[in-house]
Amino acid sequence: MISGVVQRDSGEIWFMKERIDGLQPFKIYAKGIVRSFQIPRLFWRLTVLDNMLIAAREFIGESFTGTLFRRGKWVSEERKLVDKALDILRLLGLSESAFRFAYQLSGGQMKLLEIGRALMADPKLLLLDEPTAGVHPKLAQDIFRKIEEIRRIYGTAVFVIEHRVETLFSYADWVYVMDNGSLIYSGKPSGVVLDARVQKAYLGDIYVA
Amino acid sequence: MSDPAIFIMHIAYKIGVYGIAALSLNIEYGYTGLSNFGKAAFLMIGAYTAAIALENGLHPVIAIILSVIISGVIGLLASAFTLKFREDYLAITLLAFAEITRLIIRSFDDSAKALTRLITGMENYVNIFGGVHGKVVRSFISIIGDYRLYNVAQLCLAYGFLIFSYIFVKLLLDSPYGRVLRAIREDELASQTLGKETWRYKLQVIILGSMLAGLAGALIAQFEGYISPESFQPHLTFAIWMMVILGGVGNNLGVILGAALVESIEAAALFIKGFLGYLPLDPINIQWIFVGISIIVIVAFKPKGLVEERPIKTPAMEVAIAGSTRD
Repeated sequence: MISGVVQRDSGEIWFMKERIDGLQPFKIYAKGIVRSFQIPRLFWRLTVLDNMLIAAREFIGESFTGTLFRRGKWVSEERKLVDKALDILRLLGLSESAFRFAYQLSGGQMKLLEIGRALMADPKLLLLDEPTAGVHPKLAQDIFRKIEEIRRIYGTAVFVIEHRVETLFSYADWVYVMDNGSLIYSGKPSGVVLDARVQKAYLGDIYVA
Repeated sequence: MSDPAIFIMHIAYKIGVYGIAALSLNIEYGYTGLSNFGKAAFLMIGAYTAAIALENGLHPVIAIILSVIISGVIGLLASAFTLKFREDYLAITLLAFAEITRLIIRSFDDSAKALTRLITGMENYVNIFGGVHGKVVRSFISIIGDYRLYNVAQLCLAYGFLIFSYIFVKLLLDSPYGRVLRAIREDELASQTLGKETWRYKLQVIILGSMLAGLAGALIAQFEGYISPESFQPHLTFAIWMMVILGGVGNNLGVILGAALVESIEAAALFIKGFLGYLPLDPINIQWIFVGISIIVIVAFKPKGLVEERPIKTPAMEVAIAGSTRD
């Protein structure tokens, strides 16, 4: 909903002192919010590197007139972008696969490429929709470690939706718990299990002592 | 058609011109994933524009420019309202649009005549599109006497435009722009969340595709010397689709090869007709039988077409690929 893919029923969304609800996805992207999808939505018949380059911001070669009439400029710009993309791929451990097609990747690699593609857009806020869903637990740890590293290197705010709370909690600064569409907890991860409403919603009445 | 050289040059000409039409569909379908089932209409608009322009004594260069521009504008109008919706709507709209345009051109003159009689009571002869009788088109090139030389000149014209279109399409699409188009084809929503205003790209592509189709239409009209609404029925659209699918969706050289294949099949069917005089079979059907067989064979053995799509190739990508193989 924040990324503009689904329209809200009510309420307002504010980002960096600007109201962003009701905007189309490409305008949300322009504000600096970039998302990943739970089920990877990569450009399957494009190479991994092409997938990365699509996300680049304000690239002159992507406009009709820019492509034809400012060739010199976009060619040199693209060199820089390719370097940047390869750096991100290296960080994510995907540089071996840079020239393979996206459909040839493994499930975990697809998840990583989703994150890498979003990173390519220099996001101020990175929204990750279940980055470890359907991924082997060990790889899930790896993915979170990578996200942690990204946060350190790029200074991006990261907002993660996740079911795998046990792995997430060791990396998260702040946790929001939702039940039935409303917020029931907001605070440090260490306090979640002690909260009565969270216990009731997720464990049922029996366990509440 | 007694001269075999003329027969071959005629086929070669059609390959060149339909190559342009196939390129135009490849931009739309091969790159951007837009199903344009109204291609014949844009060829027809180009053909009629050129015919009317030449009839009024305009220079061939102006006739071509007019064909290209008017096809582009009509392409814009025909698709602007549906591009924001799902893809299938565009396919249906353009299919319907093509048939409606064809029927309007077919009945316009008679309707206009009837209407003026109804309003003013006067018999007024209207002749703009020629209705069912079609229209005679003047040729762009006038060489009197040597028919072979005339055909060679026509071939140069067609292939000149084909090469021009190919280079233009290649410059435009082997680029970040072409990469965005392919991204839209693969996943439109994901492209939007990565900042691409997709409907603008799609609109540009439809306009461009229509312009190229208009060019092809103008070239066909002046070569054939005669056009009628019947030459632009939906099966023309499907013939162009066959060229793209058989040749290789998303590969510009491939679709030109596809045009050569489909046109050669048509010519072969025409040729075989002479030997099958007594069979209870319409030779036009032989063509479709051949096309059907080649579809089955190619889809079974090379499902991506004769020439497969290649990744986008830009200078920076070449450097990167060279770097990766060195490591």
